[in-house]
Amino acid sequence: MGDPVRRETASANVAAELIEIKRKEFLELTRRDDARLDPLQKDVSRRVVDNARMQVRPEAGTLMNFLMDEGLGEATNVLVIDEALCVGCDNCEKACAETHEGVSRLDREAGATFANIHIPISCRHCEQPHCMKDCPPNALRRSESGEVYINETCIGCGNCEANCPYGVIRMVYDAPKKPGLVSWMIFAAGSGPGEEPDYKPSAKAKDKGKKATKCDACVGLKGGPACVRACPTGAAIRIGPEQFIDLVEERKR
Amino acid sequence: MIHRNLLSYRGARYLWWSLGLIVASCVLYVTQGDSQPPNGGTWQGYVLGTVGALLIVWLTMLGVRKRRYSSTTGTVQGWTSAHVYLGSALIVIATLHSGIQVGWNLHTLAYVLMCVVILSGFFGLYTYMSYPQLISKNREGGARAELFAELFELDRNARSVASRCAPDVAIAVDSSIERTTLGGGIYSQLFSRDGSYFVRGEGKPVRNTDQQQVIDFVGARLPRAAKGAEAANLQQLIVLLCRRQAVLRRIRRDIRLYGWLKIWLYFHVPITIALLVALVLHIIVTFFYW
Repeated sequence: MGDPVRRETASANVAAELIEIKRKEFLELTRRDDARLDPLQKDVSRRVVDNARMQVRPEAGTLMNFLMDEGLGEATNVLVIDEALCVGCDNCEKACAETHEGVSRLDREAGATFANIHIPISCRHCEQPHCMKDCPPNALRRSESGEVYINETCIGCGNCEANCPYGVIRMVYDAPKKPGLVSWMIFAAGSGPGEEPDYKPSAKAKDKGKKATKCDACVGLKGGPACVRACPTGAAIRIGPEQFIDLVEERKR
Repeated sequence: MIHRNLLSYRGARYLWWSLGLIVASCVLYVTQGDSQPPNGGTWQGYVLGTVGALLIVWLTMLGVRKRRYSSTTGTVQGWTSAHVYLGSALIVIATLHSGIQVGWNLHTLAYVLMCVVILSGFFGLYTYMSYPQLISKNREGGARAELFAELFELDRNARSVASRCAPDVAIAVDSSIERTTLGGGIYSQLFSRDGSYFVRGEGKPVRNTDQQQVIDFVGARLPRAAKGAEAANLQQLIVLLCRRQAVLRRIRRDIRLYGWLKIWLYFHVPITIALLVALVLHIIVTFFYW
């Protein structure tokens, strides 16, 4: 398990449960079931290496601090854009709208940037979702694969929008149907792919009222997140916190 | 690796496909022998022509694939990577197909249009690979809206300080702000043309390119400042106007870089449509030679 003298401290970035196991009990546990030793030791080795990688590059630490300041410590699936690759074509936003009935759940340009890493406004599928705190119809759910989504029982109360600290939820009307891709390409019909700017909702949509909408990581869609699949330059990717160290190390190599 | 650019996508696999295609095309070309000059009418020429035509049609399909957002046929990045590498190979395939037999005819027109499309694509690739980094550095990690917010703040402050100065200074500063131009037509955006003016005293508007003339005007007033407070205001104004100049330079550069990043597609796509028309006519006409 590495050096018996611990040389690091740990700080929790998000609300966490801490279980303290004393050395004596821990050794007794491993004695009774040594099958768990191997994965534990692998984990210790990985953490020692990761700590050393971060320690020798303080500039990587500043980028990590930025990610934590943006609340990504509690994310499970976050959209990260490399500004050195992004050409601003907005194909990610268009893909999001076109795979979600004409309403985008992503704002590419908004959001913070540091050292060419841009975090757009898009749901992070938090480990402990703030949006779920007070949803009267329990419309906010987490799928088996981890995506947080809003189902059709949403009553449009807006609690989730108010509770989300990252501004990723919008209350919107259903968007009207647009002419198809071919009509747009040949006859310039409609506004083309993507959310129609300042769209006028139909009477039926107004009757239905505004409902909460946010990124659902394309749960149920074949191929996974449309924004990532639609990016022509590889700038847009979705990662989890376990890949943050690789991300910051790669930037600051 | 977490992020990969489109050239290094999947270990640059399409580069190897492209090189393989080029080598196969060269081998096929060489088998034409010496019995007649190499041309598109030999069986090898027809094979190269067919491959070239199919490649052109497939390359055009990128415009469709990138807009089929539910498609799981690869990713747009993969398609773009293949588009770049195989599009580059096309120039060799089409040249070998032609046997470099050129003239003032429809066939050469199709070939020239293809070359223009590919060259514009090379320019586009150059901008895609280098400009995002330049844009990000110029914006200092923010968005263009933040640059404008900074500019408007400086405008407000400059007007406020200028209002405490002599009337001609106030007129000069107010007019320099009102008559600052940014962007404009295509040429102005791409070449950062600055058509800014300011009004000097009672006179006609004079050029204020890069804001330098109004800064020099205010600077020249400093030795004539009657009171200490007036001098302090003028000095503060000079700092504000210089900061304004710096922000305007960054905005103009942002507009210019973004403009070049976008403009090439307005050539690449329409000329591709023209190429497709010329290609179809070229194919139809060759049947008359049978």
